[in-house]
Amino acid sequence: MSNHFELFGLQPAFELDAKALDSKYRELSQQWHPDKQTGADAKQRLQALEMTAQLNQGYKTLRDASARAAYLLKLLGLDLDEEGERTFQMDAGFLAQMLELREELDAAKNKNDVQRAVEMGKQMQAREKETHAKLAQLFAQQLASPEHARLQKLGDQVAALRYYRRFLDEVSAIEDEATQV
Amino acid sequence: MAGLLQIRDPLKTEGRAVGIDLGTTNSLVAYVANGKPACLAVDEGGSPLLPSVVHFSDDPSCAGVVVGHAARRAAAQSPQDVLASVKRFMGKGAKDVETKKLGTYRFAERADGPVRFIAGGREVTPVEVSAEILKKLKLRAEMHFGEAVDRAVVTVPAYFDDAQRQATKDAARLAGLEVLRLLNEPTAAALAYGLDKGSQGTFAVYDLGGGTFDISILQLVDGVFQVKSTGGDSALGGDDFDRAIATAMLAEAKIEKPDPAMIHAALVEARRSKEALTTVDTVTYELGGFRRELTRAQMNALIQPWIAKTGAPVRRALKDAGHTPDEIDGVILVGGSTRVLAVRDFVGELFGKAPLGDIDPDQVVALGAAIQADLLAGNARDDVLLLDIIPLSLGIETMGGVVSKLIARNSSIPATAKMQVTTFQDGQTAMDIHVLQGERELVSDCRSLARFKLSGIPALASGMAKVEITFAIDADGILSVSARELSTGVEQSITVKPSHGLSDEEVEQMLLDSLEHAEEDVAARLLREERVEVQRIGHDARKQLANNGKLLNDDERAQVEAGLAALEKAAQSQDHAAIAAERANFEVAVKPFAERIMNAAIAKVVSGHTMTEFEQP
Repeated sequence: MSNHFELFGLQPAFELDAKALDSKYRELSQQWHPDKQTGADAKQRLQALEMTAQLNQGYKTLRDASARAAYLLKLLGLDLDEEGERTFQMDAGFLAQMLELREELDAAKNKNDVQRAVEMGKQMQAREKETHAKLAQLFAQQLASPEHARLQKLGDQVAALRYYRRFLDEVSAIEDEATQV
Repeated sequence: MAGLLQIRDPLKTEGRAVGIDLGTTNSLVAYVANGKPACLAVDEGGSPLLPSVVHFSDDPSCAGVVVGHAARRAAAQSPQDVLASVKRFMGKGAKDVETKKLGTYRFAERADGPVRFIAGGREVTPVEVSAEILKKLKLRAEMHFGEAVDRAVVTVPAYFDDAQRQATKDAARLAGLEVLRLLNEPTAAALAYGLDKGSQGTFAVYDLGGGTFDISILQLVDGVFQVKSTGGDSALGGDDFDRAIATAMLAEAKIEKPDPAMIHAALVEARRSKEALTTVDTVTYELGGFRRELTRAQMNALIQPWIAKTGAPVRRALKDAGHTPDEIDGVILVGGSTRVLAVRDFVGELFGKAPLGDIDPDQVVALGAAIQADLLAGNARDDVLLLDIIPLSLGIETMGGVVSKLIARNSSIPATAKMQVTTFQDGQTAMDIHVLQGERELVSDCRSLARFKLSGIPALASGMAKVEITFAIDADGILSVSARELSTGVEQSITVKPSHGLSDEEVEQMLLDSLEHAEEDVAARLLREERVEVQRIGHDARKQLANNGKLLNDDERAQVEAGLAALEKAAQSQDHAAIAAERANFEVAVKPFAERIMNAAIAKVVSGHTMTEFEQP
């Protein structure tokens, strides 16, 4: 079974041409989707079905920056999910800072201060973007010449992305709730 | 994951494949001829709309079950024996909140299991009622074509959960239809529009039917319809408008405890007024001798809260797809309730542009389903492909009543996912797997789809035994789950049966009548599949004997007949492997005859041509 990058004919990298991926995904789906195999025999159709499931999973993983980063990290030898995020040693200062921000967001939520929540979300998005830039550089270096210390650093950044993502999800939830009324 | 994703060998039947929109209010059947989809006339006056209304009569003099306009007419006399809008109850439990709403239904008192209505002196489930509607559509289509119709693409609201999808499949099976695909309604609508216009871009499909609301964001590029996100409310629709209007009418008329006939009359007046107010500003309604005017503005005020409820799912679907309203190239309206002017205004405001409506919103879903049926029946057009998604996340219960998601909502299907869990007690030898659907964190806030037990785990210290859970979702959006202990390979797998669905025995009982088959555990399903396969072979063989019997001598003919009799006898057994073995024997035995028939058929086709004509490119 090929890895997600190989599946789409890509070189492993954090930076990715989303349009090219979309177009390759469509092309491969046209080729493999079970709906296109109505005349094929059972074995071929089963193979096509499994291939399509793989395509779907690969596309979803690569299309999302956070998932792509975690996946690439795993290919490079550090599996955050296996380690468990809780046991993966995050910088204590970072964790304290995130905790503080979460508390502030909770406070905004309790006060129904949607504007403040949205504002915090924007700041978090900016941090996310910064991290993406950092990751692009670090991953490129790591792919060129692997270093154990850098792998840990990448782990920190990828794990941080997950914290940002969860924070942004919470902001979305607050927004959703506000617009429902 | 090997084995969990399963393909079903479509029965190689000769019947036609059609597209069916099994709607809350109306149902339609459509097919493709010469590349163009069209709806068939299915009810009185050549109407393509068959009201999804079924009358169960206890009067033995009439056949018992009447579907469509005639059933709707009977509702005035016996409202409780006439079942309408049963789609709202598909896959729902007996105590579901849906049963508490204003209506004329008479529910059987049950603590659990599916909703059951009492009509015509018997209990019927929503699945059986829907099967009656499907049977009538099938029959009408068969009368139209003069041949069997046995396969269909049946549409479901995108927001239908696993239980509702299973219930829809059960209904089709009961009606004698093989489901080629459960197709999401908005996707079907987009398909009808896309093929019609050959367009590219990002579209929103706003589908407000009688009982369900769906919103989907789709992208059409190079013939690939990629559903980006979907959302909605499976219990929101025009029926809510009718109930709101009817409730107001009853209050105006000071009717405090309306009987079922009065409720029915109010609902009919409400619907009539609602429909009329799409073209006129004022209508007069009458209820129990009370007459009053209702203006469009008054009606809009009554239904506005329900219309506004569609806003949140739309915003969320847009966000999930990563789009803003102004990035949407067109908004497609689906469902009769989008005829209500206040709905159109609301949609226009939401997206900042007037919605498209050039295909009849009542027919567009059926037309799209017909296109997909045509594609799946083997008339594949190279340029068209649908990539659909699941509407709700799927996961399992983990420690502390928390849901751990394996497949996130808006994931493309088919899909598979795996997760490893460990035992949490020393010496633990069994594990309960609880499968859930929904977006919330807590088990109690999600819908329980199924529970099963993996036993035979070796007794080890806690955390040492590793169990791998695999989810697989097929192209219909239906889930199979397996659990495997990694050191011993002990495995359990199930196709998820909804907790609120019909029990296996119940489905079995219903299916016995129609000689169809249902899904329960794998062995039973295999058994039924084998039996159906034998049936098909028997049917084919007899047909061949009748048509081409002269190609065999008497001995050979007797041999085939004896083999067939042995095979059909074997099919009575409960052992699917034994039937499969006998079937393989039979197939080997008749192969030479089959080839002879095939050669004769080819010879017939090519006679008059020289072979070289066929060898030349």
